[in-house]
Amino acid sequence: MTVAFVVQRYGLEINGGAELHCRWVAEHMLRHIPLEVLTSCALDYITWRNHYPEGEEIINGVRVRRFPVSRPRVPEKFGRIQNRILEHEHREKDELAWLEEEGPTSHKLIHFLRKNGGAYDYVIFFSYRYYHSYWGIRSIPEKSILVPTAEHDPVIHLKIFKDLFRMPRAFVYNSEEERAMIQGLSQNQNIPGLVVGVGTEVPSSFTAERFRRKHGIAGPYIIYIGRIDENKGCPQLFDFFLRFKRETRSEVKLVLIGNTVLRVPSHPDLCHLGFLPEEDKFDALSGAELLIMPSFYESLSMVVLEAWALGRPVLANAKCDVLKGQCRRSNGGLYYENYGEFREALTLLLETPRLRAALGENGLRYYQTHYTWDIVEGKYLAILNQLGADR
Amino acid sequence: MDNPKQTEKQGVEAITIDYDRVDVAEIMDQIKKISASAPPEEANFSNDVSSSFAPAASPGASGIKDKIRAWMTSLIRPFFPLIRFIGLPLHQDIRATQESLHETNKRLDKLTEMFFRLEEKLDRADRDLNTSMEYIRLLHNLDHNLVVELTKLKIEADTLKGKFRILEKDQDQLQRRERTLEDKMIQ
Repeated sequence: MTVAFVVQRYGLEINGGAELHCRWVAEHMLRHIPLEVLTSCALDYITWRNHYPEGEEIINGVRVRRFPVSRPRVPEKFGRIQNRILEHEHREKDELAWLEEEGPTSHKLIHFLRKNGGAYDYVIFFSYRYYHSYWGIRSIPEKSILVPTAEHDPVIHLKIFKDLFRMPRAFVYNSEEERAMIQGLSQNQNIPGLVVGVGTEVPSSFTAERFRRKHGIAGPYIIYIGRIDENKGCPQLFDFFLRFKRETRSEVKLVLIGNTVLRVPSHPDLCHLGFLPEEDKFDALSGAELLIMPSFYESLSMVVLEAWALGRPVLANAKCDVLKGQCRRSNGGLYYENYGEFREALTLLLETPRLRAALGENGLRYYQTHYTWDIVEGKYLAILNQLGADR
Repeated sequence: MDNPKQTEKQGVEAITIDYDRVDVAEIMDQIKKISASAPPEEANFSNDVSSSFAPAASPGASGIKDKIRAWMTSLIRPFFPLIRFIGLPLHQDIRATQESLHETNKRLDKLTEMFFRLEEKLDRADRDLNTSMEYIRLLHNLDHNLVVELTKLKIEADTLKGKFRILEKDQDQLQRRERTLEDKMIQ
């Protein structure tokens, strides 16, 4: 059995959700089946400009075939088209024009799939919303498996995607909520789909003391890990946290790890440390009272799984169905919809070490039951075997 | 032995947690109730009127201004009890305003909840609409296919009618020929 993974970008420097998800799954599945990755030459997800050379290379043992992007994206034009299709009546050809502009438009990749798709037993596409998935799945629907990594994003309601969701042989969902959303939109209940998600790598050793020494952090702290961005709910988090500090006089700090695309308010208890290596990240997470996840849109939060893998509790934004659902299923974290709930939940968590420990233990159990690599790999193999048996 | 069901005091409110079987949904229900019924934050007025009413010193303020402010403060210090007394009704006004704001907030929360429920209903309606649109599209395809099939049948019928007319003519011709042959044979 030979399998191809198709993703918009691929590389060790790329930390984006779906791309990292694809790389981790590919590297783990390589132990079970021969596979290769088909991707573009892009590194930057804003313009998809060609960065890597066209052709083959090996990354962590995985053969990667890169195809050039025919034309880079013009962000302003893309924004204009997106506004038009989201806010005005439009036709299917407008949606296709939007897809073409969104990219990464790699005609060579699609041509390769049409010509050589027969050489693979299955082709697994990551991220439903990009050019490669739409045209790739249409090229070889009978061999396609889609990992949609879908969020509650307005573009998911586009007509072209409703049709797309009825085409693949199978789905690999990230969460129950994602499956319910896609099935609700496209009525594709007849297509097999398994909730799998992704595993996470926990380093063998981590110490909070090392992190505290290195970055001069004293006293209790809560942590946010990820891109500091409006889409991730960070402005609301800053607002809530500073209000919480004013009202409760709590000594807790908020440590922020990740690159920022917006201004972090200047406050002695807001510690923005920038992007940190994995080792530092896990050191920081292990010493935190809890992980806070303010994002409105997530298809699966890897960092929440990492927190649970370390036995840390989570406080999540309940406006994100996936995060709320995961907290409820795992009993590993609390959630909030407004400032009042944020204040009460955070106060309860900070003042009740026993509750933190209990939620952390539940989270760890949930992680061990659903998200260790053995389980994730097993689920992928089960899907491939089931499809093989159905042939 | 510890009772697994413990009450953790949260200010004036209490949250019950069963540590043998921690249920996040149950805890969140209690947090939601507390959050919904929380009184407005008490205004944290200081007893020291001078610190309450004195404007914060700006970093760029000149030394002369500070001196004048200190001199003025020392001058009015004996009248602080009187100022506090005058300030009392103001405090009550603020409290009354806060209570009214709290009531407004509660109403807003209710409206927000109604809005969310409405949003859910709209989502459901949207899903139903999508399904209906899909059915309509299928029916449209069916109509189209029926029209194509009927057109084909019409053409087929026309062709068969043509063939039938040809056969009739052939039969007439054969009958005429038969009659001619009979005449000739009789002659």
